[in-house]
Amino acid sequence: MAQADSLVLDVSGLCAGYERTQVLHDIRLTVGAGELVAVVGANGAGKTTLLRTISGLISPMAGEIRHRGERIDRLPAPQVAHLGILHVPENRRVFPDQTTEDNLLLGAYMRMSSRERPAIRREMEEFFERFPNLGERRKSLAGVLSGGEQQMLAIARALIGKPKLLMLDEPSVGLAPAVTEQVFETLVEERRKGMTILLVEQLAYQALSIADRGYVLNQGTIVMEGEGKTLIAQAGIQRAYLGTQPDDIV
Amino acid sequence: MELLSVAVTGLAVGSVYALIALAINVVFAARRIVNFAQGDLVMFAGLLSISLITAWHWPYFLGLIGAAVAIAVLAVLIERIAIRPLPREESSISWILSIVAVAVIASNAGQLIFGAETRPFPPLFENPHVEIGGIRLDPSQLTAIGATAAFLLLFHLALNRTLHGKALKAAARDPDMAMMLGIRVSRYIAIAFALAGVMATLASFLIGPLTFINANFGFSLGIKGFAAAALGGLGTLPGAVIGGLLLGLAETFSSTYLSSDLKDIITLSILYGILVFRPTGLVGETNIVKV
Amino acid sequence: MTSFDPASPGQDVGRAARVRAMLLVAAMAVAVGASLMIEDRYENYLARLTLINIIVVYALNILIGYAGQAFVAGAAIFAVGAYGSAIGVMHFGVPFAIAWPLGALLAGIVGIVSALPALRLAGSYLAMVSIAFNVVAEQVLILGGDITGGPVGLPAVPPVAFGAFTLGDSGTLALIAACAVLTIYCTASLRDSQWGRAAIALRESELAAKSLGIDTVWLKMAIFFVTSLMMGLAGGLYAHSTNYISPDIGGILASFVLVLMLVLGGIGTLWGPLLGACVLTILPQLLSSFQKYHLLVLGIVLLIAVTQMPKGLAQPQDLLNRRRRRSNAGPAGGTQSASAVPDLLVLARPAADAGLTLSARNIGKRFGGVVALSHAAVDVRPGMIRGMIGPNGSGKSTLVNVLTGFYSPDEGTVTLGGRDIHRLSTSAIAQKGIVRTFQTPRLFSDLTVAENLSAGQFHHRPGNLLSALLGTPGNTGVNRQAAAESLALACALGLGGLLDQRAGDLSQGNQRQLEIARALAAHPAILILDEPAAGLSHEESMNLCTLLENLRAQGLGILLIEHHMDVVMRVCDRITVLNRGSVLAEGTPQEIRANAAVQEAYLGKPAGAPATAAAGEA
Repeated sequence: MAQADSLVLDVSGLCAGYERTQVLHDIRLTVGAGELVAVVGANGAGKTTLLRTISGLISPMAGEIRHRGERIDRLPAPQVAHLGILHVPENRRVFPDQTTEDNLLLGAYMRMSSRERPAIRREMEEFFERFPNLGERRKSLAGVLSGGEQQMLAIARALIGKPKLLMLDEPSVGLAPAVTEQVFETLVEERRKGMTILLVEQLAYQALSIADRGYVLNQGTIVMEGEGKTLIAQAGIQRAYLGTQPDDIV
Repeated sequence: MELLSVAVTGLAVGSVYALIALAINVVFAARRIVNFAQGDLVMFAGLLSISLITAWHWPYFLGLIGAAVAIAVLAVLIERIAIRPLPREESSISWILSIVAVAVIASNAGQLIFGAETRPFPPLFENPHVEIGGIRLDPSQLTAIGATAAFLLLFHLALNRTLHGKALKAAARDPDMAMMLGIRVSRYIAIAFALAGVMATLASFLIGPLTFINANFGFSLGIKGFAAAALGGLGTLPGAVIGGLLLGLAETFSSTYLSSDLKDIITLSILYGILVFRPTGLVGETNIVKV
Repeated sequence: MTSFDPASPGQDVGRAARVRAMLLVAAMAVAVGASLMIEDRYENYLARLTLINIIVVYALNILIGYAGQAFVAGAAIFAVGAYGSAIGVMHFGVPFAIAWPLGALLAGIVGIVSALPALRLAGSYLAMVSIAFNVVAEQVLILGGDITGGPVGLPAVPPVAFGAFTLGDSGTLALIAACAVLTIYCTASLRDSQWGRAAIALRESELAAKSLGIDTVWLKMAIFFVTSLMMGLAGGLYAHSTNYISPDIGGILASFVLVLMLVLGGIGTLWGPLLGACVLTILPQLLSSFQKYHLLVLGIVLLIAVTQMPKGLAQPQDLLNRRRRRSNAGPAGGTQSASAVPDLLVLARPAADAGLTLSARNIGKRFGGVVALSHAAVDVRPGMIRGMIGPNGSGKSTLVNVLTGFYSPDEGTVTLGGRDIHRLSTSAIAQKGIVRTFQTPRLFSDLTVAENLSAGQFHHRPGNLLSALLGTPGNTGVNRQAAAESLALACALGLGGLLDQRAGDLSQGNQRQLEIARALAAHPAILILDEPAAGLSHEESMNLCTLLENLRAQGLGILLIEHHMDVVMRVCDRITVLNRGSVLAEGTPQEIRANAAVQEAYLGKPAGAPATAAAGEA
C-alpha cells in the first residue's frame, strides 16, 4: 500500500473541462512509483482532458492533483514539466519544421547545462541505435516521418527528459498493429527499468494486459478500476465500448 | 554605370527593409501578430541614438548600444502592456487595434519628446564617396548591405544552431507542446520582442545616412516593413530577406526611372496584390485549414 | 401545410416593426425641427460633423460589429464618396442630386473591390489588407493631380443644391439629420431581419453558416456594398456641407478614429455608434486647446479599451436583445421527449432532389505524409439511418468533411443521385439538401434560440435585403414565417420555453438539441449528425433515438457518427465501421456487433491472441 506522500500521482475529486463544458466529474486515481497504470475508455470519455489537466494546460474547476504530496494543480505547464511529469500528447506533436535530432534535443531542454551535455549526446546516440530507422532519418525534418516514426520520436523525446512520470495519450492512434506492438513493447521495457507510466488508451485489452492497474473512464467518470488482468475479464468493458445487447436495455 | 549605382542603392534600402521585415517576422512567428509599430521603434531608436551621441556626447557605438538596450526594453514593455492581455485566437482583431494604438502613441510621443524637426544621423564615414573599380559608391550604402548580411547570418546561426534558437522555434510553432517540454513560452515571446527592438536600432543606424529621421516617418516605415515581410512570406527568415530586397529594388528603380511620387503607391500596390493573391508570400508555406 | 399558431411570436414580430416605424417618423420630425432651429454657425457645424460621423460609424458597426468583417478602412470608403460627389459636381457639372448618389455608388463599388480579399481571408489578414488598402487609397488621392486636387485637396466644393434651390446651413443640417435618423432606423430594422441574422451568423461561425447553405460569398459582398454605400453617402454630405475636402479625410488616422468611436461606444450594439460618435466628435472640439495631445490621448484611450475588454472585441452586448425576453414564449420546454416533428421538413425540397442517395466511393485523402482516408466509402438514402463508427483517428470526421465539401478528396467521388458533387462548395452542397452538425456545437452564440433557428432558414427564406433595411410589411411577413417555423422546431426538440435565451447561455444538452434543430431548419434531405449523443444521459439519448426514428419515418436520410453504442445499435439500419482510414466492415447492427475484427479494432486484442483478418470491405 503506497503512502500518500510517496505517490507519484494522486488525483482526487478532479473536475475539469473547457469554458462552459465540464468533461471530468470527480476523478479519483493514483499512480505509485514504478507502476504502469492504464486509463482506458471510449471516445469522448475525457482521457485527453485528464492528461492535459495534469500537465497544467487546463486549470481544474475543482479537486486536487498531488505529486509526492505536493499540490501541482495550480502550476503553469512549464513548471509541471520541470517537476519531471512529461506528457506525450495525442497525435505526437513533433515539431515538423525541425530535424529529428533537434526534436530529440529539445526533449532534454530542461537538463541542458554544460555538465550534462556529453551525457545527453551519448543518450541521443543510444536512442538512434535502439531505433535505427530514426537514426537513418536524424537529419530529416520531423514532418516527413511516418506516423510510427513520429510516435517513437515523441516517446524518445519524453524519455530523454528523464521523467519521474511518463504520460502517454493514445499512442496507438493511427498506427498499424505491428507498430503499435513495438510501442507497447517499448513501454514494457521502460517499466521493467523502473519507469512510472500513466498510459491513456482506447485499445483497452492491449493497455490493460501490460498494466499493473487500470481505470475505465466513461463519460467523464471512473466506472471501473482494479488490477489490469482482472479488468480485462470483466464484461463491463465490452459494454462500455460496444453498447448493451438489445435484450440488456432496461 | 548608373544602373549599378541604382542597384546598389536599391539593395541598401532593401537591406534596411529586410531588417525591419525580419523583426516583424520574428514577432509574427512567436506571437502571430504583425507589429505595425516596428517603424516607430526604428524612429525612436534613431532619435534616441542621435540624442545620446550629439546632445549627450556619448561615444558613437556606446550610444548605439545604449539605444539598442533601451528600445529592446521598450519593445518588451509593448508586449507586456498591449499584447499579453489579449486573447490569442486568430480571428480576434483586438491586436490590430492595440498595435495601431501603440503606433499612434509612439508617433505622437516621439514628436512631443524629440520635436517635429528632421534630424540627420551623425555620419559614420567622413567621405561620402568611395571609388571601387572605377565606380563611385556610397560607403554607407555598402555598410548597410554588409552589416545586414552579417547580422542575418548571425541570426540564422543563432536561430538554427543554438538550443535557445530551437526553443524559440518550438515555442512559435506549438506553444502547448513547448510548454510541456519545460520551455517558458512567455519568456521567449518577450525575447522575440526584445530582438525586434535590437533590430530596430540596427535599422535606424543603417537608414540614417540614407534618409532623414523625424518623428513622422515611423508609421509609413512600419507599413513598408510589413509590405516586405508579406511579400516574402510572413514569419520566415528567407521571406524577410527576399521581400526586403525586392521591395527596396522596386522602390528605387521606380523612383529613378519613373517618378519619385509614384514610388509609394507602387510599393503599396505590390503589398495589396500579394495579400490578395498570395497571402502566404513568395516563399511562405501554404497553410492547411482544418475544420 | 401544417399551420402553427403564430399568434404569440407573430404579434411580437409585427409590433416591433410598427414601433420602429412610428419612432422613425417622430425622430425625423424632431431632428429636422431641431436642425432648423439651430442658429449659431459653430453649433451647426459641430452638429453636422457629429451626424455625419454617426452615419459612418453605424455603417461600420454593421460591417465590423454585426458581420464581424475586420475591415478598418472606413475613412477611405467615406473619402471615395466625398471626392466622387465633389468631382462629379465640380468637374463634370452634374447636379448634386445625381452626383451624390453616384459618388455613393462609386464608394459601394470600391467597397466590393476591397472586399475581395475578405472572401478568402479572415480576421487579422483581412484587417492588414484593409490597412494596406487604406494607405494606397490615401496615396491615390494625394497623387490625383488636377482631378483630386492633389495634397491640397478640393476647396470651394459647391453646397448642397437641388436645381436652382441651394440649401443653407440649416437646410443642409436638416438633410444630414434626416439621413442619420434613417441610418439608425435601417440598422435596427436590419438587425431584426433574416439578413441581419445571417450577418451575425457569419460573424459567430462562418463554418456553421456555410453548412446551413448560407452563401457566405454573396452575403459578404452584399454587406460590403450596402455599408460602403452608406459611408459614401455620408462622404458626399460631408463634401458639400464643409465645402473643402483633402486627402487626410480618407487617411489611416481618420479610419482609426472612426474605429475608436465604434469600439468605445460599444461594438455590435444598437446605440453604441451613436454614443461613440457623439462623445468623440464633440469632446475633442471642446478641448481644442489640447489639440497637440489629441491623438496621443486617443491612442491611449483605445489601448486601454482594447486591452481591458474581457474577451477582446468579440462579445458585443446587445442590450435591446436581452430586454426583449418575455415570459409567454410558448409551451413549457426543458429537455423533454420529442413531440411530433413538424412535417415542414421535406416540404420545401424540390421534387428533383428528394429521394436521392448520397454516396462516396473510393475516397482517398492525405495530409502531408499522413494518410487520413484510403478507399473509404459510405452511402445514405433518404428514409434510412446509416451509422458510422470507428476508433479514434479512424477518419470519420475527415470523411464527413469530404462529403460536405470542406475538404476536396485526393481520390474518389462523391455523388448525390448519381451526380458528382465533390467540386461544389460547402454552402452549395448544403443547399442541395446535405446538412451537417458539428462535434462541438457551433451555435451562433450571441443570437437567441429563435434567431438561430431563423438564421438556419436563411438559404430558403432570405427575404429581400432592401425590405430588410426599410422594414417593410414584406419583411415583417418573412419574419413571421421564420418565427413560426422556429417555434415549431424548438418545440419539437424540447426547446420551446427557451426561445428568447441567448444560445451561448444554454446548457450543453440544450445546445446539442439546438444544433440539430437548426440543421433541420435548413430543410435537409440528408442530415449528417456528428456525435449528437456525446455527454447525454441515458434518458436523453433515448429521446434522441425517438427523434431520429421520427425523422426517418418522414423520409429524412441520416448519417449518424457516434460512439454511444446504445444509440447506434438501436436506430441504425446499417453501420459502416472505419478503421485507420478504410472501411473495416459494413452491415446490420447485429452483424457488426458480432464481428470479431470490429471488436479488435476498438478494444485491441487480448494478450496472446493472433490478429483477426478484416471482415470484408465495402
